[in-house]
Amino acid sequence: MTETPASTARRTSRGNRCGLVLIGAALAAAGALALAAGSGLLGRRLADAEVYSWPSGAAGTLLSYGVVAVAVPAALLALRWMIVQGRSGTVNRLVVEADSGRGATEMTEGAAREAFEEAVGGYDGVRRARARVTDSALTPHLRLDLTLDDDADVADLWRRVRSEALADLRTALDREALPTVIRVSTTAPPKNPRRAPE
Amino acid sequence: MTTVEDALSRPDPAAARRASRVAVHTFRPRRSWPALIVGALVLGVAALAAVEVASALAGAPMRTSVTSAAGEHAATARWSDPVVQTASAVAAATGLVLIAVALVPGRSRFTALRTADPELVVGLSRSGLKRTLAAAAQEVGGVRAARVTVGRRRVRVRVRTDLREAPELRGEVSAAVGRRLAELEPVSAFKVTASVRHTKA
Repeated sequence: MTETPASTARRTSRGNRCGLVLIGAALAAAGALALAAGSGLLGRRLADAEVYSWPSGAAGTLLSYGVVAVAVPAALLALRWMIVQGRSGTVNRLVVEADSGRGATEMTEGAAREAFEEAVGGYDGVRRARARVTDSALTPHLRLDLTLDDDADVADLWRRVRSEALADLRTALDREALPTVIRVSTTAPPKNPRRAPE
Repeated sequence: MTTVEDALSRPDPAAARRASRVAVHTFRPRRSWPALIVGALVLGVAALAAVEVASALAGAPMRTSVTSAAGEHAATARWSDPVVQTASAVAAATGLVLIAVALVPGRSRFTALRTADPELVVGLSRSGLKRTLAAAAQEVGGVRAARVTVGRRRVRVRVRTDLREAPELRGEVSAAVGRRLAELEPVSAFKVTASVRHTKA
């Protein structure tokens, strides 16, 4: 099966959705139970019972250990969840040729990326091209942010990127597939364009 | 007659469908801000609970002003108290909001374009789409200015013209914007509506 682009970003997105649903469901269930308890649906005695009653003796100690056993992993998971949000997923090195058991040829991503950016930046209508290699050195993905002139032909330009610069990059990296995300934005022409040298 | 070349060059419908699905999912909002806020709150509550209980277990309870005040209040509160009931309702409502934030797809800043290739995802920014469609509308003869609003499934074009009699202008603008959309091939189809305003001389 072929790989899809930006899989790290999509994994983070899926993780965020799962985390929010999990915590949301826990909060909604706890809130609904507390409402039911307070309104007497679970018995009059419970409605009049104290909210906070920490057991004494061995039961209290056991509950304390239980709280610590749940709170510490929960805090660590929450910390990891927060750190993951800032992850850009960019990689600095690329494995060009992996030879099982006998080592691999590596290259810096900058060399390939800069040549690619330069090629795309030279197309008519492209104001700015910025690329990032993401995911992993073994199975790299590409993210390209393109800023085009207002009157540029968007469809023609992304097709040109695919058939020329992207094909060249794949050849340079010796890869049949390079999952890619192209994000296109446009900008108005500069109000005070510099005069071309005569 | 269908030749072998025709059949080979035609995109595989299953791959094209998969490509469209991947493209739409790629540009969906990541919910980073809700995740960050909820993560920070969970971290704060869990860390406070762990420190408080662990210090009490070690024989040196570390009481913070927050937990002391909450403990004193909770010690006298009962489940049927209006304050506890309100807090429970707020917690349940917050939980439902979080579930909604997670499940409602949200609106992306990028419009996914059709590539028929699951390995290539292309998106055009909403402002870029507006500008491109406005440029298409302005290419129609007689149009002085064009403003485009892009909704989820609808594109609204408002043009201004100096022409006093231009009954066909609305149709021409709609057709021009529709053609530009067809060239771009967005994954989700848009319905184009145009309106014309005459500029007073």
